[in-house]
Amino acid sequence: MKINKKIKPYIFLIFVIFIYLIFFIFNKSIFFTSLDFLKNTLIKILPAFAFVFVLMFLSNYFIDRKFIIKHFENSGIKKWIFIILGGILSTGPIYIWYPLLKDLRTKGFSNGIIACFLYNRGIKLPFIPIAIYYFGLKYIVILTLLMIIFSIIQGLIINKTLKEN
Amino acid sequence: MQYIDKNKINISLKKALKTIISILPIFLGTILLISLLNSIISKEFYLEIFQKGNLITNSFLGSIIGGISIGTPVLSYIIGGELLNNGIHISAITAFLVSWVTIGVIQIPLEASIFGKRFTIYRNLFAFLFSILIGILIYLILSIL
Repeated sequence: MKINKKIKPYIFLIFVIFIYLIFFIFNKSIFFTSLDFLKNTLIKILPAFAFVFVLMFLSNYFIDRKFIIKHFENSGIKKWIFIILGGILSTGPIYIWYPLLKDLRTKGFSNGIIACFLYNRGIKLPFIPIAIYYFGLKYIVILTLLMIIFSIIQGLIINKTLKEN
Repeated sequence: MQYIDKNKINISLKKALKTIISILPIFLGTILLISLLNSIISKEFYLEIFQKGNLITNSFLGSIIGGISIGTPVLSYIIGGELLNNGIHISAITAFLVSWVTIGVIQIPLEASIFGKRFTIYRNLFAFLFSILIGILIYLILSIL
């Protein structure tokens, strides 16, 4: 049975609401404690979510596919820098970038460069406000720097390993 | 204000709104579920799972859980944040956050069909190992700073 794409995300939500209904019937204490926790979480998260929306808008406005491809054409260290930035700034689901990356590979981009791009997609700038809210600025700065460093290490290792194989 | 492209503003706003709306049901469902679990499961339960092990096993466990989890990274921050509030070790949470966004278990077939099996296996394997390493490193760095 094929489930409508628009309905799919709501199935999980409906399922959780259903569990809440069960608790409402059988254990009101847990039901109300959970709602209280939910209320407090939402109050804390919503301002950060507004900021996420603004960042998403800005990245959609200023950074598009053309912008990224244009900067990929550099060479040497510059190429790595733009690949890292491209990975961080690229938006949308990962699989929409697969055809472009495949195309770039046929144009001479190494496996390591592609792995580096994919790794840096893990750094989600628009969601940083929420991450800072939970973990603090110092932690997020260190984590981001470590992820960038390891994206390069991964790229270099993959280049070496796949070449040797 | 000839430099501002009104059409592009509209498209960018719509795209941002669409993304937010698309993650909203899962986002709400997750927060609801976390709220419920928070009421049912005690802090001691989480602590027992993670803190029995050492720095490496905690990171390893965090990396496995993050690696098989799917969904928008916002969810990983919320889950990770609540685990942190429950006293889970920062190395485990970091490994969980990093593997959530760098390992794509669900996309492995698609990734392999486009970039090849070897590339996909190596990339995901290194992403897994690095999430453990980053978990350990961040703990060490934070203890120094």
